[in-house]
Amino acid sequence: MALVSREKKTPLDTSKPEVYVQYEDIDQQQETYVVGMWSFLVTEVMMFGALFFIYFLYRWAYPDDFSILSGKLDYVLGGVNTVILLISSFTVALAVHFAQKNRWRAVVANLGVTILCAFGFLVVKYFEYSEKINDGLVPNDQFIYHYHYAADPGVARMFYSLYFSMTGLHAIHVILGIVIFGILIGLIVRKSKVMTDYIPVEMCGLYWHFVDLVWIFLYPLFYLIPHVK
Amino acid sequence: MASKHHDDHDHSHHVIPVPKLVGTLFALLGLMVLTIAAARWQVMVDNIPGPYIDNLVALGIAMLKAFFVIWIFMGVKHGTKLIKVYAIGGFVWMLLIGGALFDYFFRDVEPVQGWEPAYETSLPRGDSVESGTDSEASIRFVPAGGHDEEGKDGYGDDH
Repeated sequence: MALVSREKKTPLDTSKPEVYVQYEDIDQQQETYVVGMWSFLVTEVMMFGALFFIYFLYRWAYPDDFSILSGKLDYVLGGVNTVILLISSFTVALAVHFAQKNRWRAVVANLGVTILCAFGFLVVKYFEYSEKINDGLVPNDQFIYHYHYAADPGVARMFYSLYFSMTGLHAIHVILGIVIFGILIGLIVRKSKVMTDYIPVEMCGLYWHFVDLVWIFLYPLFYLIPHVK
Repeated sequence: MASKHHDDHDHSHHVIPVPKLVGTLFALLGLMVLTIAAARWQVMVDNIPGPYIDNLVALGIAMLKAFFVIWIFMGVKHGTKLIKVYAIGGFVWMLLIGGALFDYFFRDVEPVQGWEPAYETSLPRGDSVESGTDSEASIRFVPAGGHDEEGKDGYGDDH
């Protein structure tokens, strides 16, 4: 099944994107797309920003306990996930690059690698979560606190509450990213009429870069808390 | 190749060359190694630089990584001015959180009629952190002494 040949004018040819009637020119049209996507991302920043604010307050109130509790998190696994997400961000940027150059096979390949990276991230996350669930560290009424830490049990519950809610919300975004890229690949392979230019790839890419951004901050804040005596 | 002409007359988008993307990826990976190394070194040498320096290093590197992702991967560098306003403003507004922190750090909570109990401070930490006796419920807010018993609302009984 051939995707698209570069010579023929098809719905996937982005060399002459269509300017819709409400826009003056292609520049204005594409600026509108990108600004609209950024508006959505700003609302996402607000949602995560509130969680980071809660995190900051409790971290400030209990620095020693947070430092001790952070030792329970495996910074190697977190680092592996950071590498996975950075590489997936790179492949998304490559996909946008090839979409702008109208090379749709390369786009699909890069988006496929991105989806694989997202699954890899979730697999690592699964091992991290299942270890904590087995240890009874889910902050519900069955919360077990029998570790050798000197940390306060109440603060431990708060720490794991923040950990699960923030990384959990991020993991939900990763799962949504898999769905979004799956749909995007489907649209490209089926040569959907929606794909008149590279913009859909760029919009999905912006979303994925945002997911990467959140992890860039989550990783040092949860896994690399400095050791306080 | 239709894309050959983009740099000449079509300013609708800028195609970021692949070597630049690769360079950005390696810069990001290098910064990640650096932040892990800084954190582990700080653990190993037993807290010589102090937690505040280390927090600054970790968050500074995180912000640098975020800048690379936003500026290059997300294409803001070659975006229009309006896109830059959105992208920068979307993160700069978080400085307003500093304003909220002023409330948490420096202002006493004023008792409001109908709000019970009246807390001594708006911090998430109560008295129990200092006393260390109430370990199970240390997250709980501890009511300010006296407010509960006498006024209920702290305003006296002028109503």
